[in-house]
Amino acid sequence: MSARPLLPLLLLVAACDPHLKVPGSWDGPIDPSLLPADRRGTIRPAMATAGGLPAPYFAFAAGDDAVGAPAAAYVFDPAAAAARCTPPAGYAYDARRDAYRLDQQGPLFAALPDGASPPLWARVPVTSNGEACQSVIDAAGVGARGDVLVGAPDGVLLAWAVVDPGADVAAPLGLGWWARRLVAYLDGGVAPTTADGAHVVAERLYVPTATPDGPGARGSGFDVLEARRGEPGYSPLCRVWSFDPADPQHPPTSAADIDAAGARDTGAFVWCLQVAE
Amino acid sequence: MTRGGLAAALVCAWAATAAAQTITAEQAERVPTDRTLPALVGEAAGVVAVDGDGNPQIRGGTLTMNRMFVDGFEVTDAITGGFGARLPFAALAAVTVRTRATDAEAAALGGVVDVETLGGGDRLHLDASVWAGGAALAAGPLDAGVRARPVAMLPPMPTFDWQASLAAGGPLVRGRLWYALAVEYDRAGDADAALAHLRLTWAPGARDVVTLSANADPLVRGDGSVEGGAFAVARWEHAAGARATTRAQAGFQYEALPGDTRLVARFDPSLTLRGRLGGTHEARIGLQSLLAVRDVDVAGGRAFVAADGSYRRIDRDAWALRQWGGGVGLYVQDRWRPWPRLTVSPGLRFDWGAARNSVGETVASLWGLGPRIGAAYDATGDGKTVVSFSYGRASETLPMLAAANADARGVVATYQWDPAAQRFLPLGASGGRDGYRLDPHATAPHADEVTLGLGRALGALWAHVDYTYKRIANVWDGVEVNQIWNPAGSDVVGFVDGRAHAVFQYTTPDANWRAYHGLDFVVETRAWSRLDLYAAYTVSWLYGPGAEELGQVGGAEAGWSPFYNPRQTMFYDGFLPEDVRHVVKLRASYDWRGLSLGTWLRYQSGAPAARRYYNAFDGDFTTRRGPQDELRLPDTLEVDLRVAYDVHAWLGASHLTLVADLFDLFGLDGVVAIDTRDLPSYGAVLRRQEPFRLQLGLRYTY
Repeated sequence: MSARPLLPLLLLVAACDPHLKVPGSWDGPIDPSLLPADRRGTIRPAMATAGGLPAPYFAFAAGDDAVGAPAAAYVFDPAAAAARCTPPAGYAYDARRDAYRLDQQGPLFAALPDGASPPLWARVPVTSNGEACQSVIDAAGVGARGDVLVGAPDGVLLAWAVVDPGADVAAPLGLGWWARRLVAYLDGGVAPTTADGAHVVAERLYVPTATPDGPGARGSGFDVLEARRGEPGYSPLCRVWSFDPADPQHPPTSAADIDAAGARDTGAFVWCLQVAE
Repeated sequence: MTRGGLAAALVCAWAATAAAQTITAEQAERVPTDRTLPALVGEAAGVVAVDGDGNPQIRGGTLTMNRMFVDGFEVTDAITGGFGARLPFAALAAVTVRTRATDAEAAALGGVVDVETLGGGDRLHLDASVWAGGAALAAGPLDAGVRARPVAMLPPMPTFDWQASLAAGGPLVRGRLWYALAVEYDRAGDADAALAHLRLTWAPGARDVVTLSANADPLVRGDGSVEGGAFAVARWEHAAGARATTRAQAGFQYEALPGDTRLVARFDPSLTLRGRLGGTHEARIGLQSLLAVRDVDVAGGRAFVAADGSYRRIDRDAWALRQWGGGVGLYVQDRWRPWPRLTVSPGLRFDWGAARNSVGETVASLWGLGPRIGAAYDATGDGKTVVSFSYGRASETLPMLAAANADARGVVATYQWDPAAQRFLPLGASGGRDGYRLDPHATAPHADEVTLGLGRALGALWAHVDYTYKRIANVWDGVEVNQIWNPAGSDVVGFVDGRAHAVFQYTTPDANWRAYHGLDFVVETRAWSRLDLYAAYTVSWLYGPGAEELGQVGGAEAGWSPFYNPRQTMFYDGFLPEDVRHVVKLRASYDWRGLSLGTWLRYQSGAPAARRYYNAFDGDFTTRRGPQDELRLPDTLEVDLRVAYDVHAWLGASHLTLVADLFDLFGLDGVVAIDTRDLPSYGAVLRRQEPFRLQLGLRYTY
């Protein structure tokens, strides 16, 4: 018997990989090292007030107010009051067992932020069509699935800051997916835009030049916002203004108490995501 | 022998041995070995040893899934499943590694190692030898643990390892009573072992044989601790005519480790029947029973470790426990030849086992039913081409390992130093009466195996190709059920019962399985007395989530089990740590006028590994961010050579052999372990193959 016929067989079997992973299973939480430094570890909001009430905001660097070309975030049934995906029969959420709820469907992010990415996403509505909840976990190929209907971008810009789901964050986090990996996000709401859609309409963020603790600086705890989340005028993007408080020992806590004429536009922008409790 | 008879004999041999690899003492003495049993076991195709501390992984099983028999008596460690006895090397007559569960007489999820010891005969036999090796004859440190290049971190110990061995056998009463005695002294590193094995064989009549086999293997380590044990078994075989043979054996096994003793008693009667019904039959019906008890006595203590820029205090309670286990196995195995070219081997096995912990709880009561079927067909009618098939299910029903953990072990409490409060604050705890849960509905771990084989005689060579598929299901593990992890699994954010402690449920999850595909290409010959050859290439795949091997011992699930942190479970679904894709084994020796050359070559492709990240809650590198097979270690190759010269020509009936063994002949120094922790030292070599080393021996035989 010649050994020659065995050679192709050997090559064939050596190239095999009989291990098939369970279809639909997730690939785990995102590797936090893939995220910028300000999206992992301990993430704390800057203390601020608006209308005399606390208005903490999560600050992320912003270059300007241009919308640019934000990546897509596929949001399931955005207009529905409740999730329309199909949960497992008899499902009840178990916080020990479940990393994420199986009666909801998290959004899909088309990209991960890098150090220069704004926390801004172009919403792409997806209509559920009987798919199992959290069975769609990768933006790539979502349009080819038969069990969901993917729409066109609806022009809504979402101010969502993708963060490590293991980050120590003093605020509620949403959970979504990037490339089969679980990610978390700070929901800063919808970013209003100018009529031409080219710019985000920013609200003002007033920073006192002096505080009871000394010279003022953004994030020192005495910032004043024009509007709180949910109020008219709220924007997740802030334009930074500086002002001289009349009484540094008692800085104002409402934009109405600030002499707008005396405030100075620094020209700087910062993402200032207020997260709904 | 007629041509048909020869063919039938070959078919039978194939049916009996295709799933096994036997190495005799004569073969073993012609090639370089470290003169231990694991070295011989590792020679068989389908056997790998990945960080098993001498215990092999066979056909996808873990190192706890093998069974070991000495002269038909099982000496498997009843708790951990490892080798439960050390025998003098000179006591070994043959070692057979059965890698398939086709015979109903054994139930192993991994493999079965059968050791046959020397029996005495009517002729006096002597075998005395002395061997020297160790660090003093090595090119670098042995077993140094950390040997980073270019500078050895630990200086070599300039010591010799010694082995002195004496075996004698012969008649006490010629034609009636024989003895075989082997004693061995080993000095390896700082440990001294004294091994002794005695086998007495008594034939009171033409139809009866009574055998007594006893063994002791005490070992004293450099720190004064003593371990080891003993076993003894008596066996009576009675031939009630040509059609029936009865066999009964009873024995005990004792093992001792520091603070841990194990005693097992066994009783195994069987009946073998021969007859004709639609062909010839040889059927064996038997019972195997055991009773095991384990006593553990662990000292408590307090330790301080640095963690998270501060300190932790770990308090361990002292505890003493006793666990009991018992089980029976009933089997029937037939070997049916409906016609000379076909051998069919149907079998059926039933196993039951149960164990109780120190507080009287039944940890588990398991049963398993194992059908077996095998067939070998002489395709060409001349015994030169044989096709075989087999299917078998084996169950592991003795839950002593679970009982060792699901017990009222002492509490291990961890405290974190709070610099602000200037005191230690409770961080977590494990163990204690409420640190475990039982699963009364656990399913017995079991393995289903299908094999296909094709063998062909090529002149004096026997070549065969064997395919094996095995799925091992419901493997034991500790499932943590109290800690609530954040979505990333990086921190515990709550506890189900509101108390900061871990609770492990010891069970056999459906999701805990291992699957093995393997193809063996083997060429061997035993026909030539001067040349002995065994060459095997195995390509295999081993995958599944059942990565955990021994974590359930000592609560080491964190970082090793898919059931500790549910946010990490998916990272354990991949190629398993023992998934070695390509293995080549070559054993060859040649004798010429007293000069003997023997070689042993082992090539093994790299085993999987994964980077491990620090988890602040666990205080250890238990977090993974990728599958368990995200990287592979380098391939390794070791070539050993034996040069021996027998001065038999000058000594008449005696043989005096001078032996030089050269291990790792080419000094390849391959990497076998790296630091996988996410530290600056990530990737640093932790362990390499043992370096080039020499072993010298002088052996006298008569």
